[in-house]
Amino acid sequence: MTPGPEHFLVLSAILFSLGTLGVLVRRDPLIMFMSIELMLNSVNLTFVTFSHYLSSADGQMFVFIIITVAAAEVVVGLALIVSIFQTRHAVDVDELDEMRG
Amino acid sequence: MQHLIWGVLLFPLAGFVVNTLWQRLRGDAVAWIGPGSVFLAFICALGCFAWLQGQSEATRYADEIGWRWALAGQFRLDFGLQLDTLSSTMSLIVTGVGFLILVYATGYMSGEHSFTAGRDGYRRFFSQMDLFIFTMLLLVLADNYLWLLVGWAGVGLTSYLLIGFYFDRPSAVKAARKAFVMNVIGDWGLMVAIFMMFILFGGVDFRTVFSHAHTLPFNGTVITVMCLLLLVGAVAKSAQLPLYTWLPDAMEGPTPVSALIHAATMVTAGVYLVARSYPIYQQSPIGLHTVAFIGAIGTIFAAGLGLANNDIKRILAYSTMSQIAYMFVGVGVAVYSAGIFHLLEHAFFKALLFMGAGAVMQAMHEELDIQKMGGLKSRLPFTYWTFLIGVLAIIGTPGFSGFFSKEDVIGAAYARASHGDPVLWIVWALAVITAGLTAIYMFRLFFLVFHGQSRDPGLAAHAHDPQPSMRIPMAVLAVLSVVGGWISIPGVYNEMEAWLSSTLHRYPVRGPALVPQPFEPVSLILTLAVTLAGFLVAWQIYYRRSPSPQRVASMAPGLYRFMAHRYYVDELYELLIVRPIKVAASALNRFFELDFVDATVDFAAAAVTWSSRRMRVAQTGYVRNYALAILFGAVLLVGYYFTGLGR
Repeated sequence: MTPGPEHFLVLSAILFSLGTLGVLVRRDPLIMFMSIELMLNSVNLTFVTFSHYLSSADGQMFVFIIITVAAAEVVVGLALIVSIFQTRHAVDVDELDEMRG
Repeated sequence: MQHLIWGVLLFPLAGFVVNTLWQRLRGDAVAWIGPGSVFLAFICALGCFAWLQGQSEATRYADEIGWRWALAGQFRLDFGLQLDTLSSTMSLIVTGVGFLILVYATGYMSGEHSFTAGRDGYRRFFSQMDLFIFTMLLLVLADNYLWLLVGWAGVGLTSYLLIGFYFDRPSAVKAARKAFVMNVIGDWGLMVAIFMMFILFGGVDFRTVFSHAHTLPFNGTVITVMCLLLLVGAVAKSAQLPLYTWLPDAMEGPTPVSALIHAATMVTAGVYLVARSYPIYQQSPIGLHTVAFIGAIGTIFAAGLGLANNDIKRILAYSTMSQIAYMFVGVGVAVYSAGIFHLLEHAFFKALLFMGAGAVMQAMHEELDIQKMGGLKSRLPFTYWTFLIGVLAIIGTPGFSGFFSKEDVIGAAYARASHGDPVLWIVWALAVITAGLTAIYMFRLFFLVFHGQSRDPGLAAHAHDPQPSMRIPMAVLAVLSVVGGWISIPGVYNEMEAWLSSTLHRYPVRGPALVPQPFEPVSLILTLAVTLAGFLVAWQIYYRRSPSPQRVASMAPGLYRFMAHRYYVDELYELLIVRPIKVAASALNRFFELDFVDATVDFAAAAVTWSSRRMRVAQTGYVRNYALAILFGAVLLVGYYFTGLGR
């Protein structure tokens, strides 16, 4: 059986849902970051799938942009986590609720 | 050659920019740039004048279009300059007399005068003077009413700045504010007139307006209202009745400012406006009559004020008002060349008189009260003789410049009155009587300052003539005050009238005919007799007998008090306008401001506080709550489009 587009899309949807769930339920910022990466890459997978089956390079271009942005985002995010850890000695996002109204 | 007109406008602007932006400029550099830029403008104006001289009468004008300023539907407006005989005359006056006054100011302002006004008052003074000359030139050179208005408001602004030059004196700041408010009333009148032109003619440039003005109903309501609105502007700018009270207070500014702005140039802008708008005024005899009557009443009104004042500069301010009223009479009887002629001569002798007053003030340690002066003839011989020339010119002594121009104006009123316009006899009579009053108050000033015994010997102990930089402009203006009138001798030849006629015949007009100035010997002899009588009265009271203000006042105590209090006009305005506005304002403050405006504002603030306290609950500070909200929103949006509701 050769995999068709629907297989890739279903896989992408599963990965996206897992990522979302991870962001919502986990308290460790590192794990949350990994979940966000998972969501981003599931979207990449969707792009690549459509790009392949529609014979268009547009989707590939978006993937490049997303990879770049994700790398930048990780740099900033990790720097934030490190600095929070240095000042608070705790990495539990539920303790970071200073923005409460 | 005609393109030199741009130089006339731009050199003073350049002088202003350099003097303003180059903060480290030394004092003597400022003293070169300020008058120098105006001198270059004067050279350019002379070039334009020569070019106009070379043209034939029919083509004696040039429309210099700079660039398209605005284009909206049918409306188009260029930024352009109008070079014709009228604007050439005005630009020569502004730059020529302006240059002389700026040279005078380099000497006058170099002493204590500039130190009392901030750290670099000297530089500020010259940059503002250059700005004034630039805006004044914009006013007289613009070829449309919109840019005329820009210059009009610009001279109002610079006049405000320069009256308030000594900003550490509360009286100067108050005077500046008063002048500004009164001028804005005039700006309003001019602005509404421009709106009317736009609606009626579809354009505000001179060519469109003037070539269509004669199509409106002759002496109709519309054209008369437009004339009166223009007159509101002219009256406020030229300090005529009833908006004149700012001019005497404006004497708080430095004396060169009084000479340039409040005597020679800016206050004559109203006369220029009426003369420039002649196709509109020709269409409305009622408008012309109003101008003539405001002028005639103003001459005698201001002369009376000058009689009872003791402040050397204020007397000159009232005489300015009176002389400008003469110009209004000239343009009001539709002999525009007479009004402009008197404007030209007045610029010479009034600038000279103010310069003399400045020299006296400098010698007398800033004393302005003529009752403390006296006997200055021997101490200030140069000032004495130049001032005498100025006085002889202003009262219209035969041979001096004021004689020819004033005779032109009074003769014009006489001619109009005797040729089918009997109402103007009143105008003529007032103008003749004022000629006598002028002689009285000018010689009163002259005798009290220069003759008799010194009434305050301590003050006059070290009085001496001013330095050469002030003396040279005074000498030049003294010569001009004598010979300036010889360009037009009544009954022999009238160069002024011939020169302006190419401007005054450019557009088709109706109304009173633009006749050549007739020579009126009856009027001439009567005026001279009245002037001589006035001189003899002043001679008798202030020269023969040692003058004592108390004794003069006791001759007619009621009248004297009435005039010394300036007819109580300031008090009247206070009672009729300022007081009601203040009462209304405080009532509004109590009832409207507190109960409505403040209450509304307070309610809005309370509503925001209340609702934000409720909504703050949503801000938990937990990342996952926000993420969930985003997810929820995304699901809703996707669902919205997925189900086809969004289509």
